[in-house]
Amino acid sequence: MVRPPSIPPRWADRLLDSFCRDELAEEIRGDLVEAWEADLAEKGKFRADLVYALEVLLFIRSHVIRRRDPHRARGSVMWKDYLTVAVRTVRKQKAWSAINFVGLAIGLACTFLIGSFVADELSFDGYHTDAERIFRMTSSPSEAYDGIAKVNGAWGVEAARRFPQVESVTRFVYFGNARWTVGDRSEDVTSGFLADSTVFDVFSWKVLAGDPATALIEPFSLVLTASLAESWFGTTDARGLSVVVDGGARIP
Amino acid sequence: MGRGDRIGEFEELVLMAVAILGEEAYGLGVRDFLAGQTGRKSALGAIHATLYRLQDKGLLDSGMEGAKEERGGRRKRVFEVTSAGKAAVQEARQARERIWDMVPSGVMSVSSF
Repeated sequence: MVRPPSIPPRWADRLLDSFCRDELAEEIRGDLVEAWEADLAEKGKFRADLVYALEVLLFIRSHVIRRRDPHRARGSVMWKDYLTVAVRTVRKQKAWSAINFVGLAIGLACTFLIGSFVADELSFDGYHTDAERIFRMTSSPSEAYDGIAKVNGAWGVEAARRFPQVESVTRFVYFGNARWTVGDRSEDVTSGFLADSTVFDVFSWKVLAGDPATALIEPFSLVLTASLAESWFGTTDARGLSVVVDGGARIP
Repeated sequence: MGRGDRIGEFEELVLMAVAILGEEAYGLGVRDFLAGQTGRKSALGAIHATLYRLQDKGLLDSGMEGAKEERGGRRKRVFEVTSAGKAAVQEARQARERIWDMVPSGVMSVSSF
């Protein structure tokens, strides 16, 4: 085998030398270079170098890095001393320490609480016109169980019938992966949903083509995102076109 | 049985790979074997660290083997499973099978909803 003219990145080698135990250097370098040569042939120099550098970084582990010279003074001696002083101060000034720790604990707790509240708020799509008036039904079957964010489909219909405050109801059922066929192209499409025809009454997604009021009234009708329509039909206006889902076998 | 004789899941996989690979049981060989079998491509550093740790525990033994041109003339460290290593793998397997046998039938069968 002819040796390749190029070599792995030098800076990564220098990094490896800076932390790797000397007695392990030969076998580790050997494995790295062997893997790099395989990558070089398969993916090219840039990718091979990148992987090589990453692999070097991932060698920074306790079994690989050089142990400190035991004859040199170590920083950890001082740290032990600092720790002793800290513990003694806490013991000596109990009230002061209690105020500090309790204050810190309350501060941290508040930060996490506020953070999780804000994260929850931000997890909803705010761009819908009626975002303030859209609610999701969830169920908690028992005290002990937090519940799940879905309910039986009949609940929504019944809620609309019983409560005049409910203006409109729409349901989603996760459809999951499905095989789409258009002409001779056949591919799996993920994350589809079955939805009621009222879906556009509740959610105000911008419709590029077609009438949202009648979009899902006909059985077996389909609303596509712009990117899906572009990908399958080469246009964002896919009105009147059709796809075969799961070879026509799967009746929703 | 001492604490050091217990092995984790990844350690168990690495030990088995060493047992299977024979002459090819060095860092890269183990990594590529496990990547092929489990689809999980570990960092070389993770494989090496595990091999060294298992050796420290006395479950593996190793020696340096002849240099090859494709490694830039460097030797490789080839590992083999010691008798303590074999015992540790057996122990881990038996513990798992004892627990498997306790699972009521049907509970672990995969179903979709």
